[in-house]
Amino acid sequence: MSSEREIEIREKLTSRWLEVEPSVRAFVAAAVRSAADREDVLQQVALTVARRFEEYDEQRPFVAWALWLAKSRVIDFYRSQKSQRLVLADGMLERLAETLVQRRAEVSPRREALEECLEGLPPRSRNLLRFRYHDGLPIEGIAAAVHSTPGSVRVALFRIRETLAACIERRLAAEGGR
Amino acid sequence: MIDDAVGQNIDRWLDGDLPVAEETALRIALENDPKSLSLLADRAVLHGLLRDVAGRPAITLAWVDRRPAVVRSAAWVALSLAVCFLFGTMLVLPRADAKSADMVRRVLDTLRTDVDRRYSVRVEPAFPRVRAARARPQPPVSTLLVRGTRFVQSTEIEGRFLAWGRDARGAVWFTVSPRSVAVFGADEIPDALGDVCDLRTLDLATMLETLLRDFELERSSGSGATDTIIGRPRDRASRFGRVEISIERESLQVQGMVIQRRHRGRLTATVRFVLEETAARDEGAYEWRGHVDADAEVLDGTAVRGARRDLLTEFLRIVRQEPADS
Repeated sequence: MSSEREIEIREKLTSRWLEVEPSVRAFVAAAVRSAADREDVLQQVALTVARRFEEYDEQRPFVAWALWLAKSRVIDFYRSQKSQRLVLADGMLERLAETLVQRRAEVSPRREALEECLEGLPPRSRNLLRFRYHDGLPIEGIAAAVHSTPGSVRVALFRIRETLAACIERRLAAEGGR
Repeated sequence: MIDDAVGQNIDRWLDGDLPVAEETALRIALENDPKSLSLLADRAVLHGLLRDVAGRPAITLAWVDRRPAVVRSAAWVALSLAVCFLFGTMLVLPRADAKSADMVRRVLDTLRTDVDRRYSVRVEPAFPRVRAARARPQPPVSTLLVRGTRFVQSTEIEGRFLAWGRDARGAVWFTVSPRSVAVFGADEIPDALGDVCDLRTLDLATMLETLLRDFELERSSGSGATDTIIGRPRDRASRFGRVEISIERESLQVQGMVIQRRHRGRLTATVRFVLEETAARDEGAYEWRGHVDADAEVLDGTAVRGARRDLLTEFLRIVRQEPADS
């Protein structure tokens, strides 16, 4: 293969992967239990996508192809972990992938809307999110940091995400109505 | 309408916090109600976006990696993809403007000796806390003393004196009062602490090498005896945006830098460094011992479990200027 062709393929692969990575990450997060295992599976998916990229049929959505490979890697992961039971059965994984394919086009607008919605949160809520997503603290760690109980933190985070999800939907609906 | 209990279990699952005993209930809900599966998909996307926007993703295209091995392995894949991309773009894009690159190389030559430089540093955060920042006082200026990868930085926030640094062995330490200090060995630095160090310190030689390698450079004659080099990253995934360096033409001394930091293409902060002094300092200037009382409590890897983490939480809260009751 000429170096120019190789460069073209590498650029295309990088660009496509960056576009679908949020959907693949969401799929793996929904299907695999622990954060460390999710990262390992995601790594396997990325490797498989890179290795088999030339097999990709450009007539099909890339996200569907990447999620199809992700499904195989999730099943492989559970086969290798005999002690862990697959939480989502094969058919459920299929439906989850289909749902994420349908949502794919909304990911970027959702990110934009989320950024706007985060601005409207009170400092306490933003702090909880920062502990969770920036510092990567587990629920117990956040509870210790804010001198609260794990139960209260769980409920607070649930409410914050509900608020954000509703805010995102409102903004997307408003955008769509323009 | 989905039951709150199902929604909470989905969040707990995604947080890695759902007890195994509860998994069956979640599985049944997902199998019996298509709306639950739809909610799982939406929430998984939301968790991922929150990681990107409110936090930092496990996969970043940075070239300084302080993360645990299990996370680093995934990052390696993205990094290798990015390197392929970078390799490709470097072949097809024009090289740095020759005169600008030559000036940066000559500045680099002046940095070969171990010299201590003192800078004032101001970090101006961008989105997503723009609105909150409006209500805050001006970000405080901190003082940075740096020699190669060693540094010590100090500032006063909320009437409290903070200091943090990295010593010759790569250990990172910080203190929020003269009575105690937390010390993390080079191989145990938490991401959040690493980020603070990465954002607020300046390894000038590494920065200039990065500019030569990864940036388009252009030179403009500044005022009087100073030239300005503007750098723009070639790689759209770079964690840097525009970089501006002011160089004294005669001495080739870097008088100041303005560095834009980016995350996934978005501006996250602008960091301004202004050179205050160049002078020789003792090695001890970079050690924690010179910044706390002689009998201060030292929280290192042998400290009571959680004590070092609690002090880190307090340190990060103050550095980020977040309210104490939040």
